[in-house]
Amino acid sequence: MNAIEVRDVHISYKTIKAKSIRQTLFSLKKSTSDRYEAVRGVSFDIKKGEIVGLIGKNGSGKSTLLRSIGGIFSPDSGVIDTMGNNVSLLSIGVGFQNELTGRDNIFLSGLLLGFTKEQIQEKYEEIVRFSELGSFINAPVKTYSSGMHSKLSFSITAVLETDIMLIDEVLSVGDRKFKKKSYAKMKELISNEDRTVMIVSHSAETIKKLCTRVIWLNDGEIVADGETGEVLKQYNEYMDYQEALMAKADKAYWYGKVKVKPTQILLYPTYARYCDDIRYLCQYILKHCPDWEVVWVKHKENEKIGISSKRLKMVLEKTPEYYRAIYSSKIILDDGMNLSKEDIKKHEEQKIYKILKGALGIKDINREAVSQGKKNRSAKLVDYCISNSDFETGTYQSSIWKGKQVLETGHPRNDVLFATESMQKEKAAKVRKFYKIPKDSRIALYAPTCREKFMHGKEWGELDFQALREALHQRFGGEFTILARTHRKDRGKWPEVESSPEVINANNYPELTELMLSCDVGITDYSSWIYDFLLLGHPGFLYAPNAREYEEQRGLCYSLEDTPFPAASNMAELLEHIHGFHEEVFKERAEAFLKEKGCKETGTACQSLVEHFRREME
Amino acid sequence: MKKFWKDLIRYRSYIIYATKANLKSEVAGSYLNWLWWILDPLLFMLVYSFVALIVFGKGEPYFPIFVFIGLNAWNFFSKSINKSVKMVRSYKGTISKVYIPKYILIMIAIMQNLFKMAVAFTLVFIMMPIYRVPLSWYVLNVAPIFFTMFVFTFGCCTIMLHAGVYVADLSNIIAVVLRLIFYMSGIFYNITKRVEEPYGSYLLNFNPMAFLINGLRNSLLYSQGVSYRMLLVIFLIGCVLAVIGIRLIDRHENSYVKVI
Repeated sequence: MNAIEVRDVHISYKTIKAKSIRQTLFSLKKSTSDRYEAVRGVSFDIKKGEIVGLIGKNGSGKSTLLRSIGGIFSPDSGVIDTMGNNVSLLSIGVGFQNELTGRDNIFLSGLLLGFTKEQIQEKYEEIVRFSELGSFINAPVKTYSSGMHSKLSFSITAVLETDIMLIDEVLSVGDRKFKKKSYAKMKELISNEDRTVMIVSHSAETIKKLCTRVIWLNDGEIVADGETGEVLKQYNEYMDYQEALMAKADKAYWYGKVKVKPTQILLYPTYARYCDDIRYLCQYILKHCPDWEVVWVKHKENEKIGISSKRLKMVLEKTPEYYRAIYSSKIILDDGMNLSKEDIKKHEEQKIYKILKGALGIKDINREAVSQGKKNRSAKLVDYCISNSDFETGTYQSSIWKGKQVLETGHPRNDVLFATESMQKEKAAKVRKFYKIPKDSRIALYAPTCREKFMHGKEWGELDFQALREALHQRFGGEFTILARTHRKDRGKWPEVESSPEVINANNYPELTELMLSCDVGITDYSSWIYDFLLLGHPGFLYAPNAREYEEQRGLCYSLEDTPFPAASNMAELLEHIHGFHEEVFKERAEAFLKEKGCKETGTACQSLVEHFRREME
Repeated sequence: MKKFWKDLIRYRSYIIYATKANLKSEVAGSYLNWLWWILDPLLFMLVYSFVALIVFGKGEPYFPIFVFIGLNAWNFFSKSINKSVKMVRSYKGTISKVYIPKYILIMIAIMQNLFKMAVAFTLVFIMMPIYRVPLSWYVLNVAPIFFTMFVFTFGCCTIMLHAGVYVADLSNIIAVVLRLIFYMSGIFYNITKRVEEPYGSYLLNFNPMAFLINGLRNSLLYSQGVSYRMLLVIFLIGCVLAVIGIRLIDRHENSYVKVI
């Protein structure tokens, strides 16, 4: 049975705005009635009990259509039939009379929705309770805050329960608590099979969770009408396409229109968290360079980076401010190939610095899965490469950045590994506090590298954490807590480690460097962090069950045997290596390794880099 | 028109509730509450009495009641008109959320002013014995006069509501026009006596408010009758205006929201 029938509906706004008398008398032309057609020939049926989402960009006619269904204005042509159901429209900016009290407005709204006074009286208490207004209910609505306004309006519609509910962008009213509550109420209302609901929202999340069917309107016409997932997918594709177009326009527009500011530095991390190089450098600059302007590129609107400073300006990727910041920064620091995501021109005097995360790592960066275009762009853009060793310098020279000037300053992230003991202890204590690890417990970090594409879906050879703890206990003494951490790119693709007091899933900790400082033992397969960890001198082990396959497919810079760490290909071997760990031998091997690779880390990377920036600025 | 009667029945409880609520809110913030509904015309009565009696030295028998009746009737009419012109804009919040026939809003405004006028008129009936006004059967004429005034005001209001939506500054003009009609309606002077013929007759015969106010005074104070024929004409004019206004509103009310 249909609850709403919409047949070939056209709705247009004549742009005859209300005129003043002067205009009426003196306008020579008889109103050049500009007709703006907001809804153009829309037809659909909605069955009783259906929950339909209405999506579309701003100005696509969603709200107009909704209001027509609500009977607020009739279509210019076509028919809307709501089959005699009582309809309520819920939208931002509430239909109250400001002079009257909340109580009176409840009754008036209820009467207009077609309820009798007695019916409203019955539900009155519930409405007041739900709205959380308390004694304010007897104060005039004009004294309400906007939040109270919205709460009251939501409560009236939600509690009075009309047959058809039209909801226009209101599921985001009030504080977080109320939002949750209204969302739950919404779900409850929707679960009633007799109630028909239409929801207009820009939040794909809301639509996805609540609706069974979605209609996509664009410029007043239906583009798609069908199952939620399907339509949302099409819609998102379209929006991405639009955004890309816009970004392109901004990128082209701002180049040459903004001047390079001699003291502005732009920090461009690959991830908002997990960007220790940039984070440490940022903190150093904020502390030591009071006259520099620091800009940080974020990837999402409400991203938290854990540094709060009024001097730090945040810009969102691919917005006009972002492009302006890129073109106006004297110094740009990129810890990936972020800047090369698209074709960006730079001014002559701008200097771009690049940091590799791999450093002394075993993985071959030249075989990383990066598009050729991105590589070419990066090769063109970068001015300086930051290195921490002869080995890394060599890596640069054999890569796309061949011929670039290499600064052997060390990596900013590693400065803290050389910091005073008290500072290191402070950072380690932070980790213990975060994960509530007891003071007397020792910690081992297990953090494998990302499973490249070819490894996905294959057996990885899971660690036996209990056996590992037992072995560590026997060899090093003390009770061990294990922090298990997956690579950023693997989150969600791999069954997560379930946290217990002994084994903690450490994916949500932002700084890997701090985790390292808190650990007594490190274990990985091919990840490069262990070579930073080496600088601390703590024992490390490799557990690489798929070494051969990995080397063939992905490529390694040197063999596992050449590392200072004992390498195991199965669990038994790993335990054996732990039991047979010889501190003296390990120390010797570590020293030899660092010497052979020509390590230049001295804990002064931030300082040296900032000095270099300063010279460039002058 | 059928829709009009149906709506009137359908929305009657809304009209009643809204009228009450509005009246309540009007007095909610003030110390003297509803007393203002009496005090306001009373004080203006003193002002006009001062002007007429002291400044111009031209009074009428029972002059304070004379002015008071005129002021009350006039307030009812002018306040209703003023409100109607701005009606759609002031209810913007409500009407952009839910459908409501717009003449229902006029009904609310008129009922509200009617109630206030009724309260104020109690004072007339208190003052009459004090001033020893002789009573006559003509007092009964008050009922048809009020009814005619109601219909006529409603008719004017419907047209004003519609026009007020499309002409943004109509309310400014209306304020001036109302002031002019105020002086032409003999609120604080007697048209028959003070305005020379033939202008006096013109005013009384072509200004319905002047005629109605004059009729009220004649019935209450001076034991004189009213011209039923004239009353009928005004009633019919009111009806015609109302029918035109309701039709206009009916046809266009769905585009009001788009304009404001």
